[in-house]
Amino acid sequence: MSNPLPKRIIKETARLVSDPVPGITAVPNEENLRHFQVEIQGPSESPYAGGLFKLELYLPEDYPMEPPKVRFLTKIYHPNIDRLGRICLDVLKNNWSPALQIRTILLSIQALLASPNPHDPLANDVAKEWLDNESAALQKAKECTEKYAK
Amino acid sequence: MSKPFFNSALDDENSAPAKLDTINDTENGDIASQETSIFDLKPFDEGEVSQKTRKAEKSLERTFAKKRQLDFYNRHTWHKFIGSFIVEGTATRPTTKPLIYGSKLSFLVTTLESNSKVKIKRSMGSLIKFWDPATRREVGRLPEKHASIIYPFLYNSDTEDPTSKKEVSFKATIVYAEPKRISVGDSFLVQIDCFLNSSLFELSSTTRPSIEASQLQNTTDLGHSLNGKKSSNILFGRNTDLDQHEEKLHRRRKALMTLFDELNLKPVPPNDDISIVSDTQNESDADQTLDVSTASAQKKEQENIEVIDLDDEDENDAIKEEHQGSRYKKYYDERPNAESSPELSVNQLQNIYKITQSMSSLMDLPETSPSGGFQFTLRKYQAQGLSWMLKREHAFDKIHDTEFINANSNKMNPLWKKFKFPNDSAWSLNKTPDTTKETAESEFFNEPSHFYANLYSGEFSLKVPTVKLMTKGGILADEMGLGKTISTLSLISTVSKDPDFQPYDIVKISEDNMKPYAYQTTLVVVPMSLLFQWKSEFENAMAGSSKYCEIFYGDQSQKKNLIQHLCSNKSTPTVLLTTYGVVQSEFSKYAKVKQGNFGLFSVKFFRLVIDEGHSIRNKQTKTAKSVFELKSSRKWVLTGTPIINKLDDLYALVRFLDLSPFSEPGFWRTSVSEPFENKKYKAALDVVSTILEPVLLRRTKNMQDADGAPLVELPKKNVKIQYIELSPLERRLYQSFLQVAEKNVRDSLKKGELLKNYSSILVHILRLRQLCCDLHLLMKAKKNKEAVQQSKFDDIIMEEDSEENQAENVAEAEHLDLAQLLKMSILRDRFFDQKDLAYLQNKDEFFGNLIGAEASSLRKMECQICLSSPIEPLESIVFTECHHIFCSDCMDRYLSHKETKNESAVCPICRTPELAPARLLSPIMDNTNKTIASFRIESPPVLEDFVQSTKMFHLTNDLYELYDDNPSERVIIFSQFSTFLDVIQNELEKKEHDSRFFVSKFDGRLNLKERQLVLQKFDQDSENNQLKVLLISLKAGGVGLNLTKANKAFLMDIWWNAGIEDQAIDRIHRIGQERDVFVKRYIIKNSVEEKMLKIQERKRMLGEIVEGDAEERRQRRIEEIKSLFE
Amino acid sequence: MSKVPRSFRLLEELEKGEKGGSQACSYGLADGDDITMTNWNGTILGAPNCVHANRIYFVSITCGPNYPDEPPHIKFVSKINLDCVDQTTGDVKPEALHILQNWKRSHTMEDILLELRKEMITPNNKKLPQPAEGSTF
Repeated sequence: MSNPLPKRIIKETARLVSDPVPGITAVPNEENLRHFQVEIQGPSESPYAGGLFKLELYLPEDYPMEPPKVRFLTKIYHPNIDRLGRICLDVLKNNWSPALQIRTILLSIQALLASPNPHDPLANDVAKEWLDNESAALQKAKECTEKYAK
Repeated sequence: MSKPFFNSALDDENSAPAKLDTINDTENGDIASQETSIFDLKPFDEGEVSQKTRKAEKSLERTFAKKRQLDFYNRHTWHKFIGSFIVEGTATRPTTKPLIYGSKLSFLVTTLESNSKVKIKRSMGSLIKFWDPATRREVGRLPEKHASIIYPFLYNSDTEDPTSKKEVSFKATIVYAEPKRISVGDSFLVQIDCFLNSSLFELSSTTRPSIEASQLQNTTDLGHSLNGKKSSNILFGRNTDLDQHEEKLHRRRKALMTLFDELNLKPVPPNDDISIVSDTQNESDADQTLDVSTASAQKKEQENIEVIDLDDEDENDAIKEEHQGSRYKKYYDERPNAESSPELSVNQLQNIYKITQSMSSLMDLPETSPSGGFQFTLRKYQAQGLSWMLKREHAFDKIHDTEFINANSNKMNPLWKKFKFPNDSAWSLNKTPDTTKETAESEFFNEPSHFYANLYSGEFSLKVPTVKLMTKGGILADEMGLGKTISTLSLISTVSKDPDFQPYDIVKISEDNMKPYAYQTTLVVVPMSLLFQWKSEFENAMAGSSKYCEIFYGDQSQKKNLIQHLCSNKSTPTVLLTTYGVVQSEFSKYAKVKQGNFGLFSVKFFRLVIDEGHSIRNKQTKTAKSVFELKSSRKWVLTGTPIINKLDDLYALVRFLDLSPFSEPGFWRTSVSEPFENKKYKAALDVVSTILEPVLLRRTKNMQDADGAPLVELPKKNVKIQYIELSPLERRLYQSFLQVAEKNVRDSLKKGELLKNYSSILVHILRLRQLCCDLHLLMKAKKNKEAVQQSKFDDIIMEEDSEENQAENVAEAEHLDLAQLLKMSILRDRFFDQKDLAYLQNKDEFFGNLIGAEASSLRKMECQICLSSPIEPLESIVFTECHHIFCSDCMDRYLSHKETKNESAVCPICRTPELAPARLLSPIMDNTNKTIASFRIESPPVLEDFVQSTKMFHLTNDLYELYDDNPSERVIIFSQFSTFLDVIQNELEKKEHDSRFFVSKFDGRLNLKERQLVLQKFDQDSENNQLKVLLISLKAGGVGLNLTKANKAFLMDIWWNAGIEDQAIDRIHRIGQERDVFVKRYIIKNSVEEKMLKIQERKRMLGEIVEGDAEERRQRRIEEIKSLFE
Repeated sequence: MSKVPRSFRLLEELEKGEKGGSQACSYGLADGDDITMTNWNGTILGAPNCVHANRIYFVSITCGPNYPDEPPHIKFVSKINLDCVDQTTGDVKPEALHILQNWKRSHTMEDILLELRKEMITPNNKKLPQPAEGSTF
């Protein structure tokens, strides 16, 4: 390791462990301290309630100037998350700010689960279903949660 | 009206020509019978017998005499079989008996009356028919094609003697006929054997072993040659205004070509000792032009340049097809030497040079010591060059190597081809022995196996027709820096006047418009910047001799009567020095008046030398035209690069040197330009090399002599590139200009209008380059007059950059006010000023509360980016307008990150827009460091803050270093911007440097006297310890100057074309330089300069294509511009 | 310096591939559902001015668990006759392709495809007879 880990990452990691966000856990990889294994509980008033979703998160070299990279490892039926687990979230792209942190990002993701936005989709077919037949979509989401996230 | 004319085909059985036959017949009957009667003497009585005998003896004598004559004639004429063809004859008369297989036919020729004014187009077929000598009847017709072959050779009304001018003879034999009576229209087959007669070769092989190239123009004694201007018409098929004679010649030539075609006579490659072109050259070399251009076209496709294998024929075709319809079509122009012609690749150029400088011939040149008062000792290769030049001037008495003198230039005229006599398969030959085989005396009887023919002019020869040029003079094309001036001066010194001229003939009437002859003077035409250099070289070289050199320039010159001055017997200058500008301006006056005493055109000079001869490469410029009109007995061109852009550059030199026939535009066009355009590169380059080889001498620095030692030992050249960063102010300005430029380019690209906006884009780039040098270059100042101001006597404009020059004009015309610009760029950032600050402190609660606040409260704050708390030192805390706090490091990093991504910065916490360094506040602590006293704002950079440009700064440092090492060092500084040179001069002459530097400047704005002064001063050793700095504009001083007293140079800026920069460095890295050379180049990091450097390097790797015309150059430049903005 | 994990690296390449990089080749996930992103497809446009011109070659790319520390496995689907391609299976022999032989983490799938394209016009390879267009291994 030629470059030591920036202070900020160390601080953040420490805080994540000592003062975790409710419903969210983030644990760094021993071999790669920039690589985190994350678990988010499905928000209660959502079809994902009761499910535990696994994600992985990576802090790129120029973090915090560049946003962290996050993706879902658990299959999820959501208009803003594609089959590969990629997430369409503004703060992860153009709305990122170095003042944001890992915890805030993860919180935003949790919030996204609670309020899907089919008008800015990543998974087009899912979004379509959401718009055409929301109840069916919600049902499907529930089923998938049962199937994969429990 | 036509006369039948019997012309029997040559008959082997009776090889005597017709006339003699007739003589025999009419006078004495049968020779044979006569002979037998002699030996059949019966006894007789004295009186009776003696009378009879005497009569018989006499007649026998006569016949023997005739036979001797006949034999003699036979011995000295011969004919040789070259092939046969079978034709189908058509019967025109019925016959009673069938035609006999194997019977001979002759030809019936109808002549046209020579004075018929009416040009009746008669078909050849009606003029020549088969004739049966046995029945003395016409038999039939020949096909038109064959009739046209045979007719011109059977009939020649030029002379009455049918024996001497039969060049080609034909023997016809029936080889097939139906075994029945012939009716009209029946066909029969005839084999026609063709022979070349010795008369065809006669004049060429006996009288001259080589064909003078000029004979095509003037001589008439070579009966087969073509005369005068109309010859070129005939040669090139323009049939306007041909008179009958020429019509005949034209027919003959056509017949020859058809004959050769019909007989399938193909040329064979010449022998080893007679080589046209070195065998290593092959078509694919020439095709490498296309290689590079295709490669560059495909650059877009992928990052790496594709290497296309040109050995693959399919590929060649593919490439050719690609280009077929496109650029080459437009080069087909009726005018000779159309302006645009295809480009030459570096490889082709090298091949041409390779040919003309075969190493062995160069190394074997003998050395000659100069005479006539020449002071210097020549280097070995220069002495060799002197021998060569003397030979070219036919000054054989001065060369002491007889072998060398006699060595013939053994190049075959490329229009000639070698043919092999095929094995004799003539019909008639099977039956009769060839009498000519027996007799053995002169060389003609050794059966020649090969012959040479020039199908264009219709000449034949048994010996190799070499090219021996009449012109005295040539091209000295040694690489730059090898001392051509000295070599030329040695020549002038050794042969300073015309040895054939009688001095007491005051005025010689020469062929050229009766001009007086300045038989002792060599006129040397040079670019203006070299005028004094030549003079001083002359004076050094000829020190102590009575020879002197005079400058013919400017107003003084107009008053001089050159006729008196140069042609009288009094002491005349050996060298008259002038410039291209003077020649041109004199010529324009001369052209108007056309007579009289107009300076340079009023006399004919002994010798004419043009230096940097590539200046006249465009034969259509006034300069070139005026130079062509100068008259002299001997002509020399000095140039480091005889071919700069296209093959046709060479034409101007060929024209200048009167290398007939190639100096005729039509001839050049047909033998060089057209084949080249039609991609017959080998043929064209063959001709070029044939023309060049005898008259061009070129040595390069990296050649080796016979001992393996390098030709020229030059000290090492060290070039170092120093990358430097712009100061923040400069960078700020650069960025804003860059943004504008990028937008412009992007928009143009999108609309596909890059070409249209080409000039404005050039302006943008120019400004960026100027910014990299010095901000002063952008300021509206009287001094800011670039490029255009070259003295009116100086013609050497670098065409390539004429558009650059225009760009400079445009840029300057736009009246840039730098202060204004700075303001504009700052406006983007919207700096706080004191008013803002006051407002914030008073009206803004947040900031208001902070004033007087305790340091401790500051310490509690955390930077939201790095999460560090406290932020130390406190002064490095940064507040945004929106009251958010960061440490200055994080803020800096954030701002630069955004700038790199070309995104606008917003407050990381609340996203308030327009975050900028100019809108941040930092606390200022009071003396006790306990409370905040006030805030600091970053103030906008003011132009007044601008002290020095980065480059200037580094240059000054480097000069100081040099000064410390050696205070009386000499240094050259090059820049393309004369304004920058002004700036540098001002800087270096400032008081603070304590006169360490003695600065002089040499650029296009100086007149002649001033330039001379500058150079003199630079050469002199300094009395006090001052670093001598010579500032040279890349354009004005790149040419020819010898500055070897200095060994250190700085290149302040970068040029598109690396060659120009190399030329600049060659001012000090050349013969005469004794120390290692050090060159430093400044390049601004992250700028257009850096990118241009990469382009230069890529060009160097690919081998720079010497571009064809302006449009080609543009295209190339556009590609480069695109890559600048990638 | 931390190493980018496999999945994020593949996501990066995926994104680049989706945006379209070089005109001479393209690549994408073979199975959009494959969360491990192991199997990929690629196409290579035949190099110009040779027998491969205007041909499109399909390849399959397999990124193993140790990618990008280890190079992916390439296999030609479209038949092609090259030095480095096993003529029975269509596998690209790693020892015969420089980039695979000297693999670096910084190399990408696109790099490999472009290198294969360059292989088509090396002197060794360009004279080789090529199977009919459209044929597959």
